[in-house]
Amino acid sequence: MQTHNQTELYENFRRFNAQVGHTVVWPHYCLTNAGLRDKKGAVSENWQAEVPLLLSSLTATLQARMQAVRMESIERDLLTLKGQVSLLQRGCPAVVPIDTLAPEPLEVIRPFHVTVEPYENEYRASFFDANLSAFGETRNEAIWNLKDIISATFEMFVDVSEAKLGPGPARQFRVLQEFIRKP
Amino acid sequence: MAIITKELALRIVKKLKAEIRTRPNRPHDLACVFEGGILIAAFGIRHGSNKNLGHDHIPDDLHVHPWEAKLLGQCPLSRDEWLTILTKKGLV
Repeated sequence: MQTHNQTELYENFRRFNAQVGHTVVWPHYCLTNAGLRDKKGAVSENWQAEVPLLLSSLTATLQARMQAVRMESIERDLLTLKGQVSLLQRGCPAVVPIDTLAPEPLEVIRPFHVTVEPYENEYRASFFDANLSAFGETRNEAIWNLKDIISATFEMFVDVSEAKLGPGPARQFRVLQEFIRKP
Repeated sequence: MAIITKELALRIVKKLKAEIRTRPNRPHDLACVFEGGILIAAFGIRHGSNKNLGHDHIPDDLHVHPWEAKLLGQCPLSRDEWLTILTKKGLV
């Protein structure tokens, strides 16, 4: 292998840069990997002929790296989106129709809707019109507990009798009577 | 953690001199508050041994803000003061 001195080498690089129209910085490892320079730092005689090979090798490496970076970015975005969808699903209130209070001995005369939403680390089911709500560890448990409180409240209002209900309970009773009755 | 825990809910029951209607094998007991023989509020007490069990439905049931319900359980707000709040809202 013939060697070039440092000045000659930089002069060749300067010419190459002038030909391509911009400055290309050639790191030492590029030259070594491309076989343009041996481990002792000597540059091969026909290094200029090998520059296109070096360029295509760099291009391929760069494209592979860009592809990998792109995939990593897509994976990261996908994970973020999955997390956000999961949060939305958990945080989104659900509206549930109620058409039976079984096994309670009460009849639903007009189906009504209740909402279920996450609350702290539980779920809260609410029948807003009647100002009644209940909690549960799952959506189903919250609905089940709300049905229980609806029937318990209604039966208690019936037991107490309408004349002995204050303004708040009387209003609740009137709302409940719109939807349920004792058969 | 819930604003009104079961422990606090039971203190509210005591403070308001509520009558408990026990309901075995059901998820809730029912606490009824009477004033002058008239039912003015009712709320559910969840079954379960966990004293931190959430009872955040109670403020709505008592027609007060959550912090007022908390004060009821923690002592600073008396039964009479709560009745005054309800009277102002036309609920007594």
